Amino acid sequence: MPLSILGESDVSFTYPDSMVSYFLELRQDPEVYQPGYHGRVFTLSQIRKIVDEKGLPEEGWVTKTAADVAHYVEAQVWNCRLLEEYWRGRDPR
Amino acid sequence: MRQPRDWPARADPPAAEIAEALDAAFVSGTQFTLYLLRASFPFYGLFAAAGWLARRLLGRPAALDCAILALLRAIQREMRQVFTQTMMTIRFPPDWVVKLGDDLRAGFPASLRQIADPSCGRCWPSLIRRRTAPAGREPSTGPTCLTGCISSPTCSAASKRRGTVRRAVHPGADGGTESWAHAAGAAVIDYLIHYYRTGSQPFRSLSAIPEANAIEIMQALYVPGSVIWERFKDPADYLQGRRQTEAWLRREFIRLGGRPQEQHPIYMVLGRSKWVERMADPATLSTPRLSRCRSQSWAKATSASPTRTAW
Repeated sequence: MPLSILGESDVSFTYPDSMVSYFLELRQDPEVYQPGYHGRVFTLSQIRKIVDEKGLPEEGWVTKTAADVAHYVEAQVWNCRLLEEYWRGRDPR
Repeated sequence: MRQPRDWPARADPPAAEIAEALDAAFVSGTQFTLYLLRASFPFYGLFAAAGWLARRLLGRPAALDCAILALLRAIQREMRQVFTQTMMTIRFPPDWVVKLGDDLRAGFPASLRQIADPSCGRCWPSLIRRRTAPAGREPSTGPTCLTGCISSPTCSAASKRRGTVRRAVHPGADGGTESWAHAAGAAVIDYLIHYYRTGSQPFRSLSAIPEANAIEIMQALYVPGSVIWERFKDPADYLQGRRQTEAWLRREFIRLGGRPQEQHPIYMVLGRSKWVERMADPATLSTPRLSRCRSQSWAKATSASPTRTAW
């Protein structure tokens, strides 16, 4: 689904999965913890800036993430009406 | 001798040439029948072939002709599909291969999102006309330069700064959008993907239903040894961690200016995740084609099917 249907106030982002990010922040294990990413919630404009500069995590981010841990930017959509309108073929905006 | 300009024009030269190339290794019905007769009747194959040709001249195609033609049509169709699948591809560094008919899931480079050069601006109206937005929806926002425009000095410089720029039109879910990808450098991602369990309904949340129901669903979803579904091994523990995480997410989102309309978010992935697709069993993972957001109606839906899930 295009990001263009969502605004700054509709969606947030974490790297990686929000649960992983949250608990990595709590534990702060030096082997895997990265304060720039873990325990942080990003806005749409913040994540756009990061991805414009660095691409997606799988496109060469230098991370300490283990191979069996989610290696993606997770989006949390907080407005179901926009999703529903989009999938009904209507303009959500 | 007729000059090239006098030759009759072909109806669709590119398509005809592509079809000719695809069929280059394909034998005709006559050739196939002759080979078959010779192989089937090694001692009097010539006589059999002569008899068959005579029947054709007399306008009496035998049942053999009809069967062979049907077989050859099926083989031709399969060969075209195999060649198209394996050879009609474009490769972008470092290891991104786009096949004919695939969506090119990439966004526009930042340097091409705004019109800065007046000569680029002249291309914009034609770009709008070429977009095929579905009824009731505006064409997707994005860059304003097309192939012809890149030849202008400013645009060329911009594209060189960020690497070679290619364009593809993909008939995606929104009825056809245009995307750009950098042949070198990072692609701009302007879409989300919602992964969910095959056979279930997307856009729902375990957090939005009573704990007993959620635990029952998670027990059904648990797959031992699966990186994706192993998280449901201890449903109560998982749910507690998830609620704790969502409270933090919501609090931080509001602090950053977000206005959540839901108590619990719907989870997606920014761009495509090779990790998810590699780690998940293809039989248990899907992405939505047409559905609705139903986070609030989970309980009703799951009462009919306890195996449904959401990300």
